[in-house]
Amino acid sequence: MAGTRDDDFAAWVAARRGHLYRSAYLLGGDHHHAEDVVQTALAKLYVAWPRVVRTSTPDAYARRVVVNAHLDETRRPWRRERVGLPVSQPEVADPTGLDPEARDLLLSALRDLGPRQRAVVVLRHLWGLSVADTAVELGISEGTVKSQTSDGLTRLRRFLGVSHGAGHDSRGGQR
Amino acid sequence: MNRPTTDDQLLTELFVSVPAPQVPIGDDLRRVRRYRSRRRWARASTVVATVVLAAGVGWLVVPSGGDDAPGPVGRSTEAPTEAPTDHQSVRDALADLLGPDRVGEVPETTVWDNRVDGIDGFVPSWGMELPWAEPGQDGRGNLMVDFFPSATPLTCEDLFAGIGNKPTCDPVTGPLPAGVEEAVVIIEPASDGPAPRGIAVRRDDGTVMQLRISSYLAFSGYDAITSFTLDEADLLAISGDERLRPPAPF
Repeated sequence: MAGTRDDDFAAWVAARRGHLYRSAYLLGGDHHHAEDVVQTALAKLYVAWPRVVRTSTPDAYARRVVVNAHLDETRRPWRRERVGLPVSQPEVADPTGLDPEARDLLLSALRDLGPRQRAVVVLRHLWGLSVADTAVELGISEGTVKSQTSDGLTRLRRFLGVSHGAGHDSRGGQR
Repeated sequence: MNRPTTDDQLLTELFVSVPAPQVPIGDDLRRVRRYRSRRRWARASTVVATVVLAAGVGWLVVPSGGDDAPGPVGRSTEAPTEAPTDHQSVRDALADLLGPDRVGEVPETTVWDNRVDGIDGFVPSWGMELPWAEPGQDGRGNLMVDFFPSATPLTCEDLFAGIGNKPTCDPVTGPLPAGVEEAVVIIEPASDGPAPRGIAVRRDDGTVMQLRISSYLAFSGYDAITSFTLDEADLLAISGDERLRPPAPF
């Protein structure tokens, strides 16, 4: 049965590792640290795999490890001062064709958000979690999620000088 | 190239555009299997150690004589010998040793207690970050004190396990303060502003402690400190003080 477990785990890793890595990078702002966090998350997920697939989802479990690592880290000044979002790695191709300048601006703006607010924005926009699910994930109220999303996006928008009008406002008060 | 037109699209495309390394699945599988093996081994070791300890304690407290043998010493007869350690007591000791005008108050700080439930991949620790002021400067830096398990080797590999960019730990070869058995100076890569001052020591009472002063107090709104008026030698000089200790057991 070990083979089945490994096969299932490998299939999940193949499909979701990139997403997990992006989460860790956006939250922590460092490629090396992101890789460390991902490996830790994968190790814990592998150990807990039978229980996780029975009671939860691998996505949720691994995401929780990454987010908790990020929030815990912000309590440790040694690592907190290392938080920063450098520009993207030049040797890796941009898969989307997004304007590099816009991406760098947004990454810089994201760096200026507080750790929990950054987590809110990443959970909402990278993982597509609802307000309610984000609140549960972070242990905060839905109102806080809404306000932090709204404030975070306002700050990002201000940084970019992008104005799309109120009608295009994000997911802050919806769902 | 399709330029995103809404904040949602822009953010989503930004997030998806973060490049992720291509890691062979086999590498990940090997790593997680090793992790599981180490974890099982650690658990087995803990169980054995607990059984041995319990047997030892039982041998000590169970009366060895007959019915008239004296029982275990009652706790009520033991008077407390010292006040318990907490973040406030350590802060007060630091303020006494380094100057009350320099060391901020605990409520302004980040404190942590990861003695039992350590952060994944990191060494368990107990400590805090205190605001740090320099005479004549409006900015704030931070003073960090962090305690590690007694068995932690005094190397940067062990003290900063789980951290990608580790500093360098240079052993102190000169005279050490009373009570300090071993010390290292922690050297960090240069950044903006004055380089942090950091040391770690192992005391003869088993305490493993890191002291560090840096120029930036994160999330405080203060400007950074532009210069320090003390260095690693000053931190080392106070490191033997017995008031600087974590709560037991550790």
